[in-house]
Formats: sequence, structure tokens, C-alpha cells
Amino acid sequence: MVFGFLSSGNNKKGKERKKLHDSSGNNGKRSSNDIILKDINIFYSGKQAIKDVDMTIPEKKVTAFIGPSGCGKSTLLRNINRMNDEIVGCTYDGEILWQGTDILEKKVDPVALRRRIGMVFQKPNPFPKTIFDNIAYGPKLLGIRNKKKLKEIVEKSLRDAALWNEVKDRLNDSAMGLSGGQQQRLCIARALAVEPDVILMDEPCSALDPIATAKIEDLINELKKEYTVVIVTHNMQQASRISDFTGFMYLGELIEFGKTRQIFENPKEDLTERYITGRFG
Amino acid sequence: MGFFDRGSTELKKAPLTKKVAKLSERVVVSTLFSASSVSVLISAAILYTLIEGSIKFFNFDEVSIWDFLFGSEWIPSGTDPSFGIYPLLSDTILIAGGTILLAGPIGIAAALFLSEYAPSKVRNVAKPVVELLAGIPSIVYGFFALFTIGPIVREIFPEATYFNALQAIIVMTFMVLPIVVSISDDSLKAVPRHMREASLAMGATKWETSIKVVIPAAASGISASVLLGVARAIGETMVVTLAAGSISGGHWNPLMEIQPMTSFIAQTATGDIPPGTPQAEAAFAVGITLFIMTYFVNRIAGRVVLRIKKGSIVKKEPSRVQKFIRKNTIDRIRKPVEITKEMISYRPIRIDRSIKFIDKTKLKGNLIRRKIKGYFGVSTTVLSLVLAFVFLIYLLVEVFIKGAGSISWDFLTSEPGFRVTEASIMPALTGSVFLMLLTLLFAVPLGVGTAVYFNEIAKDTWYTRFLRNVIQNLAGVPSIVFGLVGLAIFVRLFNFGPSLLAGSMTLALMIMPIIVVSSEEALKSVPQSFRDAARGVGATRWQTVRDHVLPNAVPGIITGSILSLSRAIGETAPILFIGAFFAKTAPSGVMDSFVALPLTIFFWSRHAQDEYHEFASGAILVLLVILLIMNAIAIFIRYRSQKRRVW
Amino acid sequence: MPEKFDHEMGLLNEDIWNMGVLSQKMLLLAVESLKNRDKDLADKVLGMKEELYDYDQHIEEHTLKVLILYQPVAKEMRNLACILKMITYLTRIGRYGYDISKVTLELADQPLVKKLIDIPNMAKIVAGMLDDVLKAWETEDLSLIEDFTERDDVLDEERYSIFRECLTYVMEDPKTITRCMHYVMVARYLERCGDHCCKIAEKVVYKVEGKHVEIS
Ligand SMILES: Nc1ncnc2c1ncn2[C@@H]1O[C@H](COP(=O)(O)OP(=O)(O)OP(=O)(O)O)[C@@H](O)[C@H]1O
Ligand SMILES: [Mg+2]
Repeated sequence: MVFGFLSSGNNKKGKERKKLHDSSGNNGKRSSNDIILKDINIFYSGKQAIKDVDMTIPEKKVTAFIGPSGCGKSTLLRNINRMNDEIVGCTYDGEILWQGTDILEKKVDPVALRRRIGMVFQKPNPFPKTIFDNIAYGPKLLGIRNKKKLKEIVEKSLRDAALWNEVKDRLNDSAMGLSGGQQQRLCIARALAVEPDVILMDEPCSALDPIATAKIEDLINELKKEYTVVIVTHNMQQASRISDFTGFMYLGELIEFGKTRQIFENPKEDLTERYITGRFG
Repeated sequence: MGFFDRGSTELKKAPLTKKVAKLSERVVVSTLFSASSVSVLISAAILYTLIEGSIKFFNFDEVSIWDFLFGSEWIPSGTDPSFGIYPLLSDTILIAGGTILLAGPIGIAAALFLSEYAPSKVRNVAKPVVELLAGIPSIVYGFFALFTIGPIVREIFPEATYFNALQAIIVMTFMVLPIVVSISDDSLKAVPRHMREASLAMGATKWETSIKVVIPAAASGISASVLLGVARAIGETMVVTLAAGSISGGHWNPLMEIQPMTSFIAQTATGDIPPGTPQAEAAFAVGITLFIMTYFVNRIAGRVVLRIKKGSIVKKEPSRVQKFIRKNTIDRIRKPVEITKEMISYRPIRIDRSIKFIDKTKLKGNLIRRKIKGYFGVSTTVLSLVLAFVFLIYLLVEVFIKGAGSISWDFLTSEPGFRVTEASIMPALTGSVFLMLLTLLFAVPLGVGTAVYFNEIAKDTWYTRFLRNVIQNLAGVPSIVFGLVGLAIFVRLFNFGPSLLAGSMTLALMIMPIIVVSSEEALKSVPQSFRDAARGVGATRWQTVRDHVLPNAVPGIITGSILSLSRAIGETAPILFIGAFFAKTAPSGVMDSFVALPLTIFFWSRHAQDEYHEFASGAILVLLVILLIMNAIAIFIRYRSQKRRVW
Repeated sequence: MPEKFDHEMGLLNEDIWNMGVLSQKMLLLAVESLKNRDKDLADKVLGMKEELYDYDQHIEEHTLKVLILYQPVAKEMRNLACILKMITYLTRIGRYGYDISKVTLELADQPLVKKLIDIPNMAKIVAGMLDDVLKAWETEDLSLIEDFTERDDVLDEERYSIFRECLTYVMEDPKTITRCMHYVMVARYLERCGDHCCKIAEKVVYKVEGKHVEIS
């Protein structure tokens, strides 16, 4: 049999491509919780970093972006929760439809959006505060002052991030004293604490050893049952292990997007194949 | 013979032993070494001056160390003098504390605006403007405090006396503001971007991120900036001498006259205090107290600044002390955590999202409240910066309006007489110029030599580290202490008397550390590849420096030197003990006595007749114009050399 | 890494090719020995078994090593999956050659029932299929194996006609039973070899196109 959804990055005919992409998501089942990117272009001070990206990121699945350094993975990811608004000179057009709204519209408040679309970064970046305060930071911003409630949130978030058992006896120690892997799980817990629906991860394991990486991967596997996860990774094996869908990007374009198994077993684009087999350049 | 005829064999025969290093090279290197060691001599001179003077002071029968440290009254003159340092100390603390209470928040807010909110265009203009505040001589601040801020203060608080602490505090706030702003700004900027992003990505507003994440992360740098501001305020002499009065208080009332330590030292220079009395020598004991205070404050701040420069602004590892404390307290009290299998092996937990803590209905109102808070916060930071601008403009306009009227050809060039109408700054102007040229002669070779030695020749040994430390400490010594050193060493010990020579040498001591720092910057900006290239073809260290490094660093060195000289020309405190207050003619030799512009301004500001205050404004205007010209030249040289730079 | 990987793959490809040639040779020589009742030739084929097994083991080990060290994806992964299957089939084919040689040894002292034509013909078809499928594997030219279904059908028919023919001999003269049973078995072996070639062809299609197809 042949896989039903193919993308063709080289195919410049927008309409046809869009149709192909649209069917990619949940095997054709579409949900308003899917994140639908339409004709996304992103510029850094006029220099184009992302070109005409169209894709559907399905709900409650792990979607991975792969591609050579500088191809725009982080840029695209950061647009999904409007982190690019914080970069001076960064402009974008196109639409990102999510739950019935175009979240790139001016009237959408990025502050409110980011609570619902959380983000985890490449380098574990806990605040230089205690473990407790790190997790409670978000809920406190949202106006939760009740100590007992905060404690419950901290415990649940840490449990969900599979960190509770390791830190429950030292919640009041500095988060900087944790190991790299623990710090990263803390960052995930911190993101979970504000009850988001989508979690974006930009190379979350690139600074971690294999064991810590495995734990995060297990965690992501668990998370996807309840959250939509979008992850950028340079580790091809990781992408193939944990993601359900994979997009290959090159020079700001989405070259190929499809089920992970298909991308890694039988990529349609020569460029993709050359990249994943390490014959690039 | 082919193209590559290696020719005469003389070169080939040169022995490969070390003896090749020529005598001249060794002479130059040891000269540079000596130049760099002068800073040790200067430090020794400071310590010698302060200790020797203090010993003399404590040897008087009327004085005891116990009373000095713990006595509560400071009555240096009269039949029954009493030397308890407490009132001077408390006045110093009042002044420095008051200053930092204002300058701290304003400075941090302004820095926050600059680093987090200002568009780069605004930032590029605003930062130099704020730093302009640091370029204005303190005597000008003193004048402004007394004659412009004073009336306003008395208007608002009718009970305030003519001299009072508050007016000094207000101007000193803006004097130390550039220190607080620039170092706070540096450390805010040093907070890694990912820290901000972590907060923003969680749905925090920018203001919340600034307050709850960025400022706490930069806390050490910010406190260093505040400490340096405190050190500056403690050591400030002219503002308090002019505006705060000369009666030691200890009453903690900012609306009344006070006398901090620096002010007392200055008073011994200006009043008619007979030398050799306990009252005169008390200056040294107060000086050493001042020195110790500023030394420690600077030292703590310096360490923090160093750490920021090295980039480790966020402490990851607990310090040795913290570890020790933890080991001996917490760990003993708390039972060691038993490591269970559960802790090691990861066991996925079913994530249940039906449990919700956040009440989604309240989020909207909450968000609006948070945003409003943010707008208010950012407005405050903008206001702080605007306040600094307004102050600067007000000061410049005031000086101009008051001073412009008194400027005339005669005012600048004629010989002064004793009548009001015959006032002239000619002797002061020429005195200042001579003073500057002599200072240049002493300070620049020493400073540049030291910088070359550090940057090009010295290896990293305990001695060079020690020297660096010494120089760093010298840069923090209050200027009035240099005044005492000049008095004790050059005037008395070397017997130069109150002469141009003694004055310029004193100023040279003071600005040498600044020249070292700026010259080192200039040397560092020469690419390492130039040196490698020269060394690679067999040039010695000194040849490399002479032929390839120095020529390229000269513009930078000149710029730095001019800027430090402009600092010297505006200084009053160091030459307070040496210069005269009135002279009819310009000095004609290095051993002549002299007056200088800042001294004249000081003298006229304290004059009983109001006309002289106008003249003081005129002199200030002239001084500011000279500073402006010097700065313009420095900036021009820097600009031209940057344009010509090919690397 | 690709350079080193390519080098390893080069070695593997060469081994596979040699192994294919070896098993083909075993099959052809065995049939030849049967035809000529040549015991020496049959002995020679028996001696090749060791070499064939060595290839099998060596290639499998090498393939696993490459899989572990380079964790290839896409076509590279498919190729290695193909190789792992191929060596099994090639071993089977060579092994049938071995079995046919055993038959030669048993029948060498007896006269032929008739001149052997169909069996060598079948062997030729199988050898041709093997040739083509190896070439297709190497050159990724799938047109070479397009007609494998038909060729497999031909083999089936040939086997069946041999079976019918032998049946008539046996009915005529029961003394020929042993020999005819052996002939039927050999025909059966050759037909199985054809099936193996088809299986290899399926893997080659998977290698080249990433598709799972069924041939025959
Ligand atoms: N703040 C910025 N200003 C200007 N250009 C930028 C900025 N950030 C990224 N770029 C440019 O945009 C392009 C895409 O960058 P991006 O960080 O998205 O790549 P990436 O795929 O995430 O790379 P990596 O794998 O190295 O993280 C690059 O060419 C980069 O130089
Ligand atoms: Mg990136």
C-alpha cells in the first residue's frame, strides 16, 4: 500500500498543496483543536526566515520539526505562541487557526495566548528561585494566592512531570541545584502549572545525557495523551521515537510533512532523504 | 643560486640563546615595570599619610582613641575640645543614606527602562546623556545645590536652614545616578534572554517579567551599583562642604546643617586652623576612617561587578560559606533522604487533566488588572529617566542664565583687583591650564606605561594580580584623601610647599588609575593577530608593542587621557590644601603658588557678597565650556580613528 | 559518517553479490552433475556448503553491525532489511543445490530414465531469475523483475509436467520409482528456488520504492 498523505514541498501550487496538507492531520478527522498554519511567512528585519508554511498540527499528538541548523524551526515554533512578538524587527503574516480563532491577529493578546500554549526551551531555564516558587510562579500571576491551593498545584504539576518523587523533600531548595534533566522536567512542570493545552518544546533534550533524555521522552509520550505537543529536535532518532508526525524544514520552507514512520522509512522528497540519511551539503 | 637564495649566512649564525635580548629591551621593560609599581608607592603614600597623621593626632594629650571611637561629641576647637567621631559618622551616613535612598530607586527604574523597554534609538541617546551627569564637576553640583535647590527647599520647608543636608542630598542623587544607572543597566542586560523568555512563555506580562524575574536575577549587580553609589556619596566633598554646612550634627535631621567627614577634612584646609594643633591633625584620623569605609564598600561592590563581567550573574553553585553552613546545619537537622527505587526508576503517571485549579472565568479581569499595573510600572521608569533629564537641563540652563551676564573680556583676561567690579578669572584660568599640563606630564607616562606593562608584557603572576588590585582600590579612594596625601607628602615631606608642582602631582596621583584603565581598553582593542604576526617574524615583546600595538592604540590612549584630564581640571578637593584662594597674577614657575578655576568657584560661592555668586556662575560656565571642548576633542579623535580603522 | 557508512555498504554489497553468484553456481553445477551423472562435480558442490554458510553468517553479522552503529533510515534502512532477508533466500537456494548434488550421488550408478532436458531448463530459468533479481537489487532497475510472476508460472508448469511425465514412467516400469521420485523432488526444489527469487524480488521492490508488494 501507499501512504495516503504526501506532501510536496517543491510543489509551488499553493492550492493543491494545501489540500494535501489538510488531509494530513488526524487521518482526515479534523478538530478545532488542531493547529492549522496557513501561508506563514516570517521575517527578521525584512530578511525572510520562514516561507509559505502550510500545515496542520493535529491535536493530542506529538509533532516534530527537523532540519538543518538555521532552517527556521525555532522561528516557526516560536510563532505558535507569539514569542516572536518579543523580538525587535520580527514580523510575520499568514494565519494560525486554533480553536476557531486566528491567533496571529492583533486582537489576540499574546499574554493570554501563552498561558494556553506553553513553551519549554533548549537550555533548562529555571528561575533562580526555589523549586516551589518556580512552579507557583505562573499560578500566582493568575491571581492564585491561597497557599493550600498553590501547594496542590505544585504537587500535581511535579507529579505530572514525573519529578515529584525526586524533589518532594526539597521544594524549598534552589532550583539551580537540580541536575540538568531534573531542571528540564521542572521547566515542563512549570509550563503545566498554568494548565495549557499545547506545549511547544525547542530542543528540550539537547543539553541532557541519554538517561535524562529518555525520561523526558517517556514524559512526552505520557503528555501527548492530554496535550498537543510540538517539538523541535536535532536528534533524528528522537524524532522517530517520540513523534507521530514529522515535518522536515529546509531554508525556511516546509519541505515535507507526514507521519513519522513514513518520513523515516520512505520519504517522498529527495532533500528529506538526503537529510535524514546524513548526506547533506 | 635560485630564487630562494638564502643569502648571507650572518643571520643564520645568530645563536638561539636568550642572551640576544638587547640591553635596550631590558631597560625598557624594567622601566615599564617600575612605572607599574608606582601605584604601590602611591598606596603606600596614602597609608603612610593617614597613619602618620593619625598617630600624631592620637599623641595629643587631649585625644584618646576610646573617645574618638565612642565619644558622641565633635567639638574640635575651643578650650575643651572633644573628638568623638559619632556626629561626623552619622552625618556621613545621613548624607550617603539619603542620597542612595533617592538615587537607588530612581537609578534602578531608569536602568530598567533603558535595558528592557527603551527602543535602541532612545537608549543610544539616553545613556550618554545620563552619563553626562557624571562629567559635571562636583563643585558645580555644590553651587547648584546652594543657590538653586536651596531656595526651593526653603520654600517648601520653611523651617530648613540656609545650609542643610536635604539640598546636598538632592543634587548628590543626580551625581551618583549615572553610576547606579550604568552598572544596573549592565547587569540587567547581562540577565540571559532565556530567563525572560521562560517567564513570557508562561503568560507573564513584560512588566511582571521585569519585576519578578529580571530584577531578582540581576540583584547582585544592582546591589553593587547601589554600593558604588554609596561609596561615591560617602567620599563626596565639595557638595557637602558648600551646601550642607559646617556644624557637625548627629541629629539626623535633613533640614538642618550637618558636617560629614569629608566636609570636616575640607574645613581644616579652608578655615584658619593653625597647623600642629589637634584640630588640624584630626583631619588625618577622620581621613583614615573615611578611607576604611569607602575601601570596604568599594571592595564588596568591586567583587560583584567582577563576577558580572565574567558572566556568572546567576549563581549556580552555592558558595563555600553557604555549603559549610548547610553542611553543618540543615543536613544535620534533616534526616538524609532515603533513595528509594521509585526515585530512580521513572514510572509514568497517568496525567489527569480533569483536575483543574485555575478558575477560567476570573482570568479576564485578572489580566486587565495585570496589564494596568504594567502600564503604571513602565510609566514610573520613564518618569525616572525624564527626571534625570530635567535635572540636567535645569542645571545647565541655570548656570548659563546666571553666568552669562558676568562674562566679559576683562573677566577672562585682566588682572583682578580687590574691588567687586575688578573680579577676573585670569589667574585661575592660567593656573588651571598650567596645572593640567603638568598633571599630564606626570600622569600620562606613568598611566600608559603601567597599562602597557599589564597588557603587553606582564605575565599573570601574584605580583601583577596584586598590582591590579592596588590600582582598582586607588580608583575608589575619595578625592579629599588625595588632598591629604598631597599635603603630607608633596607640600610637607618633599617640601614643595603649596606650589603648582605639588598640586599637579597630587592630581596626577588621582587620575593615574583612570588613565591606566582607559589605556588598557585602547590596547585591548588592537587585534591579537597584529601581535602574533609581529612575534611570529621574530620581533621581541617591546618591538612588537612599539611598532605594531602602540601606534594603533594611540588614538584611544589620547582620548582616555583627555577625558581623565577633564576630570582633573574639574576637581577641587585634592588641591584644596595646596592651592591658594586668591592670586593677582598667573603663576610663572612650577614652585609658584597658584589658584585654579574650581578653587575660585568654591571661594566665590562662599563669599558673603552676592555679586561674587554671579562671578562663580561665570567661572562655572567657563569651566563647563572647557570641559565641553575637551570632550569634543576626545570624541572627535575617537570618531576619526574609528573611521580610519581598517581592521 | 556517510563516507564510512558507504564504505561498509560497499563491502556488504560485494559480499551479497558473491553469495548470490555462489548459490547460483551451486544450483547450476548440481543440476549439471545430475545430468552427467558426474560424482566428482557433485562432491565439489557439497564442498561449497561451508562457504555458503560462512557468507550467510558473515553478512548477517555485518548487517547487524551496520544497523547498530549507523542506525540508518529511509532507503539505507530498507536496503539492510532487504539484505537480511536476501541472505536467507540465497542460502536456501544454495542449499537446494547441495540437496540436488546428494541426489546425483545416489543416482550416479544407475542409468538415466531418459535424457534430462526439463530439469536443466528449469535450472536455467531459476539462474536467470537470480541473475536479474541481483542486478535489479544492485541497479534498482525494477524492469528486470517485472515479469517474475510469469517466469514463476512457467516454473510451476514445468514442475507439473515433470511430475506427469515421471508418473507415466513409473506406471510403465516400477524399477524407475526411486529415480523418478528423485526427479520430482529436484523439480520441486527448483520450483521453490523460483519462489525464493520472487521473495527476493519483493524485497528489492521494498528497497527501491518502500512499498510492500506480493509477487506470484
Ligand atoms: N533574532 C533574530 N534576528 C535576526 N535573525 C534571526 C534571529 N533569530 C534567528 N534568525 C535567523 O533566522 C533563521 C532561522 O533561525 P532559527 O533559530 O529559527 O533556526 P533553527 O532552525 O531553530 O536553527 P537551530 O537548529 O540552530 O536552532 C536563521 O537564518 C537565523 O540566522
Ligand atoms: Mg533553534
